[in-house]
Amino acid sequence: MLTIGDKKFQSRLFLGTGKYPNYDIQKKAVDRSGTEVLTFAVRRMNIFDAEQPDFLEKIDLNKYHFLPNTAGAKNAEEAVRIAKLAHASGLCDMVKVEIIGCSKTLLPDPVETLKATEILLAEGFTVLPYTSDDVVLARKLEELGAHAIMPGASPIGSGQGIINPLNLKFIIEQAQVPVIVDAGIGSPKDAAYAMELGGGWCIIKHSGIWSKRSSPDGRSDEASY
Amino acid sequence: MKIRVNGEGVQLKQPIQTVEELLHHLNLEKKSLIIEHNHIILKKDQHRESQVSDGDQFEIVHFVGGG
Repeated sequence: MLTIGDKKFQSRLFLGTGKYPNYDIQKKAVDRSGTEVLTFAVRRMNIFDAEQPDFLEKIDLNKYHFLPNTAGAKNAEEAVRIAKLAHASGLCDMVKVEIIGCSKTLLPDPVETLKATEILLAEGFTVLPYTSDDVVLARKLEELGAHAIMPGASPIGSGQGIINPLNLKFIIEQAQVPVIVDAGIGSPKDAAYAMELGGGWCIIKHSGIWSKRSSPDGRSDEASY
Repeated sequence: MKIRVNGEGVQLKQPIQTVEELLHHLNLEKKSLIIEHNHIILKKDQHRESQVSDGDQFEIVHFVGGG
């Protein structure tokens, strides 16, 4: 049983959205994954295209918990604003703080992540900060009151898997809150490895893995998780 | 009546009283979206009462796939 804030989850898998060939395949993949939490991002809408697809329209909003991220934010202020925008949807009170501090590596900005986490916690959000695999930073985020820690396995989108398992193990060992291994998971093997490190409660799996490995009807890799 | 939406100037050819009317005018009334009106984030039940004036600024965002 995974507990984050006041929510309890049976599944250890958080599922990323996006990058699926179409929304029908996404729906099938989501249904068969067994996940209870879907992640998504917040973006400006193209107001001149009323026909643009709505990625939520195929999803049963009553069946899943939603975890918005603050991707696109470059500092704490922007992250807090995105979190509040997402919260206004009425769909979520959790937020994944994601503040990119380096455009080349897409690694998170530790200072701004700490600031945003502190502000959002004070405002009553359930906060899951995305962080590097820095052990001390993970501890400081937990000390602030973060409800879970989301260290990256390797840089976002790299698919390199867990490049520093020792650090992840230290983070998992010291944490009293769930540790959700986040970016860089490139295969089901990486996900399994993260769990083997001991106490990694669940894995966030970027949809890119699914879309690359799943069959057109979205079935194939579910057994791997 | 001219407003700014997502950083762009939008000339409205007919008078718009409320945010709800604005969404209808833009054919977005059935979309899942969130609106920031003059830097104030609106909940859905505020769309009907939030008054639109010339020069107002809007951010209209929605959810997209992400990890």
